[in-house]
Amino acid sequence: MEPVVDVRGLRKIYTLGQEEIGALAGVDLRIDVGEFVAVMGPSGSGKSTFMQIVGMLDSPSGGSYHFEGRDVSRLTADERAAIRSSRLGFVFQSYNLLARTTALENVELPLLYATHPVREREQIARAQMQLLGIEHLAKHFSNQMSGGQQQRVAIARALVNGPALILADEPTGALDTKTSNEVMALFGELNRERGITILLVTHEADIAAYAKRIVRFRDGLIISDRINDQQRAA
Amino acid sequence: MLTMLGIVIGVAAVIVTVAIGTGARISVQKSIASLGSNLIVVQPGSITQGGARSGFGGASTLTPADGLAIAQLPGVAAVSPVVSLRTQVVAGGNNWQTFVSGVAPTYSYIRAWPVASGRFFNQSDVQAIAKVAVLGQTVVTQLFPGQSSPIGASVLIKGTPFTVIGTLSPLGQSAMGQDQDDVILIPYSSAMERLTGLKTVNSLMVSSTQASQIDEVQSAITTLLARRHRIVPPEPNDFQVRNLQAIAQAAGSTAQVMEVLLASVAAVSLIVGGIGVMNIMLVSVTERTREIGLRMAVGAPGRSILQQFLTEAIALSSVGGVIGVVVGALGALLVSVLAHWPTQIPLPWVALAVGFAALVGIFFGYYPARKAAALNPIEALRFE
Ligand SMILES: Nc1ncnc2c1ncn2[C@@H]1O[C@H](COP(=O)(O)OP(=O)(O)OP(=O)(O)O)[C@@H](O)[C@H]1O
Ligand SMILES: [Mg+2]
Repeated sequence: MEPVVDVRGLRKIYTLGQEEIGALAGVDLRIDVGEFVAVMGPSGSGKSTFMQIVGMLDSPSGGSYHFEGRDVSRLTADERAAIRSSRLGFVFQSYNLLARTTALENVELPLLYATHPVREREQIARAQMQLLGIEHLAKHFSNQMSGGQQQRVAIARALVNGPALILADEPTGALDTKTSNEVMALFGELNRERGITILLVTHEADIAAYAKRIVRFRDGLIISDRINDQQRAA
Repeated sequence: MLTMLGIVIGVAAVIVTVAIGTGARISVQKSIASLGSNLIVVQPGSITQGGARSGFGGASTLTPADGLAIAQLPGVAAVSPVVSLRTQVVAGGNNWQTFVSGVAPTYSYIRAWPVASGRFFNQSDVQAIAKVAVLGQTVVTQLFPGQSSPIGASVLIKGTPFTVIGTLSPLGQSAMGQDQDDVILIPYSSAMERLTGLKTVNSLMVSSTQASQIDEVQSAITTLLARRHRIVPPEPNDFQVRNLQAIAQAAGSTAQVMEVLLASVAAVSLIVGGIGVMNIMLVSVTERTREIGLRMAVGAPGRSILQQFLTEAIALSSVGGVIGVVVGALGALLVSVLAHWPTQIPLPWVALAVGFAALVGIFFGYYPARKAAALNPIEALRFE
């Protein structure tokens, strides 16, 4: 089967005026279907930059990127948007739920840009919330939920289109330890029971421990890539 | 709300403009229809006194004799002098401010205005300078309320008692909103002799036998009067010969001046309104930068973002347009009530005005929407 993500010699150079900042210096990584990968590394090592490129929100300065066998550099902006809509799910550190919008409407949002009939949207969104055990939050607005609840809604939103890959950049960064562990347990469950491929960035070893594979970045390069033989389940 | 104001004013101005223009056109058509297209009016022209021209009607040069001479011209069906004054009239215990018109017996024919009861005065009444009067229906109801017939009664006009010999059939409002039945008709000779004391009349009403001959008749009248008034060519005529078409055109041009004025108000307001819409949309794009970033991240293509903000701009200006139509309709109503100017709002124009407001939304909403669609999703998501 085609790997979900296959990057070779990926480079990213930011230019700030005269200055050139190398954020990625040649990253090779292959993520297969059903993997659960945690990316670790010091601040400024290029983790977020890597996630943005994998998420097709940014394009690399060099190297190649194939997503499910398709060369991303050959895709148009609309084709990339279509892949984001149907094959990718994002989870952010700051949740990024829409203000003055209910949890249910937030979960429905990605369906708006996919080809789902209007009538089915609410049904699909509700079903997804039910799967995550948060259907009781449907009518809550963003400011009426705790951080953990908001992050669960955000995860439901990431899952609603049945994506091939979930990209989560420090999803527990704003949560306390107990809630962090609950959210990570949920990711583990989604990976184990629904076979969803997950790529996650974290600073904390405790969090990375939930993943099956841990990749370390430093100065825009991968310095270690190993299987986590002590994977946490809960 | 304030941002919509420009659109509201613009559309309201369009509606009022169209209402006034259409009303004027319809009233002109009505007056042509009611007065007949073969009517010619001769009025005194301007006179020059020490270099100052007095405007039409300033010269008092027309006499009943001019009217008799015109009546001899080929193609002329009838002529009536008109002497008009506005005065208080009294009958019994009632008094009423009305128009008194001194006219010839032919007036009834020229205006196609028959009596409802009694009789119209005749040539012998004119010769006898008789104190007889024919009353319009409004005057009848004001002076003789609840009485079956005013015929035979006496009406005091400027202290002179006139005997009522007939009443006119009702004409209703004129096209310009005037009550045409608020009038007393008396022989022109009586009006000149007993009321004004002048040898001249205010105008001469001429009816040509055929509407198609109106131009020839008009120039014949001009030649005749110039000769009778001994006008030597470089000198301007001391009279004006106009047919109804020309008078209608004059009314139309008044409407046109207002239309042009309002149309420029409309244009300026719509532009100001459009800039207002653009401004609020730019603010909205900035406020919702993170939302836009998120929408892009979950798969919204640029065109969906563009659509979303364009739709909002259009909705905003269309609501403004609908409010504008309501305000404009009220404005038109006000114009017809206060200025007695007939107005009418044609429905296609309502749709057009709202459509135009929406177009303003598209035009001025495009730049902010474009800006939203061109946002970089990563920066947008990081935006505080
Ligand atoms: N938009 C940008 N413009 C210029 N430089 C940038 C930009 N984004 C990131 N960088 C730089 O690229 C490098 C990698 O940044 P990145 O955000 O990928 O690090 P990170 O590993 O996610 O760090 P953290 O753990 O603090 O989130 C850093 O030196 C950063 O300053
Ligand atoms: Mg980062």
